[in-house]
Amino acid sequence: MEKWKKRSKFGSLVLVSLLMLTVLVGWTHSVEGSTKEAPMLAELVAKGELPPLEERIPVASDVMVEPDIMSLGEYGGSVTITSRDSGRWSWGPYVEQSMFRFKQDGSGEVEPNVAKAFYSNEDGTVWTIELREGMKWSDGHPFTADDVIFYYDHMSTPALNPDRTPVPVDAEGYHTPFTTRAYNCYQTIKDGKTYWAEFEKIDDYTITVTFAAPKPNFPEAVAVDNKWMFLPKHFYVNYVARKDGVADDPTFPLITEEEALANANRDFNRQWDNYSTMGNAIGYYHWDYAIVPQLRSFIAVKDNWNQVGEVYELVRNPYFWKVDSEGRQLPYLDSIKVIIVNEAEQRTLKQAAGEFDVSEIDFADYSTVVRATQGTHKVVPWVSLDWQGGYGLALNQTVKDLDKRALFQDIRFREALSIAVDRNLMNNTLMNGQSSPQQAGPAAGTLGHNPEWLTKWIEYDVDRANALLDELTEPWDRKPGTFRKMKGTDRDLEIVISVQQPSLKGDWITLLKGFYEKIGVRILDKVDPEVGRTILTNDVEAKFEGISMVSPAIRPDQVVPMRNFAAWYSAYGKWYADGRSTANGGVEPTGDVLALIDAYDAIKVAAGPNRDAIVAENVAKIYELHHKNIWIIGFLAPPARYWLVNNNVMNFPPGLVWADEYRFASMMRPEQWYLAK
Amino acid sequence: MDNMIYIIKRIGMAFLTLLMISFVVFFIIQLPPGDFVDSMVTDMVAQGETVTEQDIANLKAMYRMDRPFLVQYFDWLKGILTGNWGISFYYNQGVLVKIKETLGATLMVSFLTLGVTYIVAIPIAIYSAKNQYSLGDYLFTFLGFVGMAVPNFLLAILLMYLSFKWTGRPIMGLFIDGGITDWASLLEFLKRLIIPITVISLNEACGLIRRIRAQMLDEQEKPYVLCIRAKGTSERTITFKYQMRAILNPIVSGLGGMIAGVFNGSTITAIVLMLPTQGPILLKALQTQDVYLSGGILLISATLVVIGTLISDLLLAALDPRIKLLEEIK
Repeated sequence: MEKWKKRSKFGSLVLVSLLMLTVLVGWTHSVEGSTKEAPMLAELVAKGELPPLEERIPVASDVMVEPDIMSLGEYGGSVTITSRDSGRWSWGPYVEQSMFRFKQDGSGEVEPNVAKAFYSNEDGTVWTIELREGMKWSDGHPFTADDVIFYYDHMSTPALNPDRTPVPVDAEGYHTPFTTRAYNCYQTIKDGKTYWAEFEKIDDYTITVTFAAPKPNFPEAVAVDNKWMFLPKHFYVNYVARKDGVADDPTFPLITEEEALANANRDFNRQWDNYSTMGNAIGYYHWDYAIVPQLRSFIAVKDNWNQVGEVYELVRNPYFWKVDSEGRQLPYLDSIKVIIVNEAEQRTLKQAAGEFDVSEIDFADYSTVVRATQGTHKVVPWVSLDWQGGYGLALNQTVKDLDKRALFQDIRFREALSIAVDRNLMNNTLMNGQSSPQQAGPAAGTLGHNPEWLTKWIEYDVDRANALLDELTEPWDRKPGTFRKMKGTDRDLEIVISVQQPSLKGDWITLLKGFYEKIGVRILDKVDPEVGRTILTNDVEAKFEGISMVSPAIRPDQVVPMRNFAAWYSAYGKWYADGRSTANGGVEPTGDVLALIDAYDAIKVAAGPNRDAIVAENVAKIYELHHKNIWIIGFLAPPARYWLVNNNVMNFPPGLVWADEYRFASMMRPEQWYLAK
Repeated sequence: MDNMIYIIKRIGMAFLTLLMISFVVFFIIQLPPGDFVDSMVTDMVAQGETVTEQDIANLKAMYRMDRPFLVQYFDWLKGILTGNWGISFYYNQGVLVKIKETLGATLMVSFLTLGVTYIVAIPIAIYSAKNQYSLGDYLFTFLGFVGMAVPNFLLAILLMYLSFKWTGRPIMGLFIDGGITDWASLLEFLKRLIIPITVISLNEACGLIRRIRAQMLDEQEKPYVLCIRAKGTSERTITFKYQMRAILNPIVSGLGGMIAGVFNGSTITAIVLMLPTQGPILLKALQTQDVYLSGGILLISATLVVIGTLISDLLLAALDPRIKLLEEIK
C-alpha cells in the first residue's frame, strides 16, 4: 500500500509535469503561431505604447506581400555592416524604399513598391499612381497622396510659370527647388520648351501625373532619378517656405525662409547658415536625420554617422508596410548596425577579424580576408555590370585630325589595335592573373550578354594586325623604333591618350606602348586633370573609358551619343544635344553611329501597348551595333563583386546584379534578412 | 616697472604673431587647388550622384565660394573677433560647437598621456643620469632612441596588429558601443586606453628622458653641487632639493608645444587608432577643404602655442633667477 502510494505520488507528479509541459508547449506554440510581429513590438503593444499591428500596416488588400527571397525568417538579432563617415549612400540602399523599384531578375523592368500600382493612358501623357490605404510613416502618421504632392509641388520643383515652363534663372521670382535638385524625370520637352509635369490628387490614395508631351518611360525614369518622390508633409511644413503665395491653407501655413531656417536649426540641432544649404541637407539627404519620419525598413535613432569608430544603428520601423508570405510584418531583424570606419586598412583588419556580418570584399584583399574568416563567413558573388576589367580604350570617333578620324572610324583599325594586345601578359602583370582575356561587353547574367561578343578580337595575333594596318597606312618596313605614316602623309601614326592622373593608369599605358610599337603605332600620354571638360571641346583623341550600365533604355549616355559626355563619341553627342546641329562644333554622324541614335530615338518615343516590344527591339539593336563595331576596345574580364557574409545571416541571395540603378544592396531586400538560430 | 614693460612687449608681440598666423593659416588652407564645393562634388560623384556644371555653380554660390580671397579672409577674421567662428561646411555645425564636441575626449586622452609621460620619464631620466654608463642607463638609452625613432603611428599599427593576433579582435576606438554602464564595460574602456596612451606618450617620454638626463648630467659637476656634496648633504637631497629645480627648465620651456599638443591630440595616431579626438576632425576638415573648421582648429592650436610660449617665457623668468639676471645684464 505504502509502495503503491509512493508510486502513485511519483506517477501523479510525472502526470502533472507532463500536463504542464503540454500546456506550456501548446501555449508557446500558440503564441508563435498567432504572432505576426516581432516580440519586441508585441511587448510595446501589450504595454500600450504602440498601436496594434492592424493599425500600423496597410489594410489587408493593400499591404505589400514581399515574395520570400529564399526562406521564411525568424524575428530578432542584428546584422553588422560598415561604412565610412557621412556615407549616406552606402548604408542607404540597405533600408531605402522607392516608389517604383527595379525587378530582382535583372530585366531592367520596374514594379510598384511604395506605390500599390501605376499605369498610363494610351500615349503616355497621363500616369496614375495608386497608393496603399492605411500605410503609415515611421511616426505613425498616415502616408497619403498629400505627401507625394507636397513633396513635388513645394520641395522638388523650381519656380514655374503658369504654363509650367521654368522661370529663367535671371528672371524675377526665380528660385531653385527646396532640395536644390531639378529632376529630369518630371520634365518633358515640347516644341523646344521644357515643361514640368503637373501632379493632381484624385483621392487620398490616387494621384495623376500629367505631362505636356508623352513620357512613356516615366516609371523607369523615376526609379533612377527620384525614387523617393515623397516626404512627410506634416513634418516638413515647418521647414519649407511657401512660394506660391497661398496664405490661408491650415495644412501648410505660410512661413518665411528665415523662419523655416530657424525652425530647422532648432529641431535638427544644426547651424545651417542659409535656406538652400538647409533645404539640400534635409530635403535631399533626408535619411541622414533620425528626426525625419520615413517609410524605410529600418530607421535611425541617433545621427552619429559622422563619428568615426562609433556604431550607427538603424532599428526596425514599427510601421513598416511589408509582410512575408505568411503575413508576418517585416523586417525580421531588430536592427542593422553600421560601424563607421574611414581608413581602408582598418576596415580590412576588422573584416579579417570577422567583425562585420555583411561587407564587400576589396579585390586586393580577397585572399587575406577570405582565409582569415573561413570558419565563420562565406563568400557570395554578385554580377558586375562593368563591360571591362580595369580599362577599355576609347578612340574619339570625331577626333579633329581628319586623317586620324578616318583611321579611328575604320573597323579594321580597331580590330588591329585589339588583336595586337597580349591579354594574358596584361592579366598577369596588371591583375595578378585573377582576370581573363575578354572583349568589352555585357557580362553573363546581364542584359545584352552575348558570349561571341566577349571573345571577339581577343586572339593575340601581331601578324594579322600588321596585315590589317598595311591596308590603311603607308608601307612600313617594321624597323624597330620607327612608326607607320598615315596614308598620304609623312606624319607618324600616333595616338595621344588623355589621362586624368598619371599614377592611375601608368602601367596600362606602358604595356600598350610596348604592344603597339610592334605594329608601328606610337602611343603618347597626356595628363589632363580636366579631361571631362576637354571632351566638351572635342580635344581628346583617346581615353581609357569604361562602360557600366543596366540598359541603354535606362542609362543611354555611355553607349549612345546623346549628350556631350563620353570620349568615344565626343562631338557626335554635341551634335545630338544641340538638336542635330553642327553649329556649335557638333559632328553629324553617319552609318552605324546614326543607327545608334535612331534606335535611341525610337526608344524615347515608344508608347502604347507595343512599347515594351519596341524598347526591347531597339535595345537589342544598340547592343548589336556595339558588338559589331567595338567602339571601346576591352582587354580583360571584370572581376565579380564579392560579399563576405556571416554564415548566420540567412536570405542572402547570390548572383544578383550590382548596380546603382538597381540600388546595390537594396536589390536583395535586406528587410528579409534573418539570423539562423 | 621693467618687468611690466617686458611683459607688455611680449604680449604685444604675441598678438602680432597671431594676426600673421591667422592670415597664413587662411591662405594655406586655400592653397590646394579647388575648394570645399569641388571636394564635395568629387565625393558626390564617387558616391554615385550625377552632378552637372549648373549644380556646381549653384553650390559655389550657396557656399559663397565665389567671393575674392581677401573678402573671405576679413569676413572670417571679423567673425572670429566677434565670436562667430563660422559654420563647418562638412558638418553643418558651428565651428566652436564641433570643436567642443570632441574636446572632452581629447583633453582626457591628452592629460592622461601627459601624466604618463612625466611619471615614466622623470624617474628614468634621473636614474640614468645618476647611474651614467650603467647597464640600466644603456638599456634606457637604447629604448629611448628606439622610442624616439619609431613614429607613433607605426607603433600604433604594430600594437593594433598584435592585439588582433593575440585576442582575435583588433583594438580600435575608445568608447564602447552602449557606453560605460558597469564594471565590465569600464574595464573594457580602460583596456582600450592602453594602446593610445602608450603610443602617444612613448615618443614624448623618450625625448623628455634625453633632455632631463642631459640637464641632470650638466648639473652633476656644477660647483654648487660639488659644494653641497662636500658639505655632506645626502645625494638624495642634492637630487630632489637642488638639481630638480634645474631640470624644471627643459620641462617648462617645452610648455608651448605641449599645450597645443594637449588640444590637438596626436593627429595621425588618433586616426590610426580611430580615437574620437580633435585630430581626425582636423584631417577631415583639411581633406574636404572645410575652410572655417580647419581654420578654427589651426588658429586655436597656433594661439595655444603662442600663449604657451608666453607663459613659459614668463615662468622661466620667475623660476630661474639666472635668466632674469642675464636679461638685466644685457
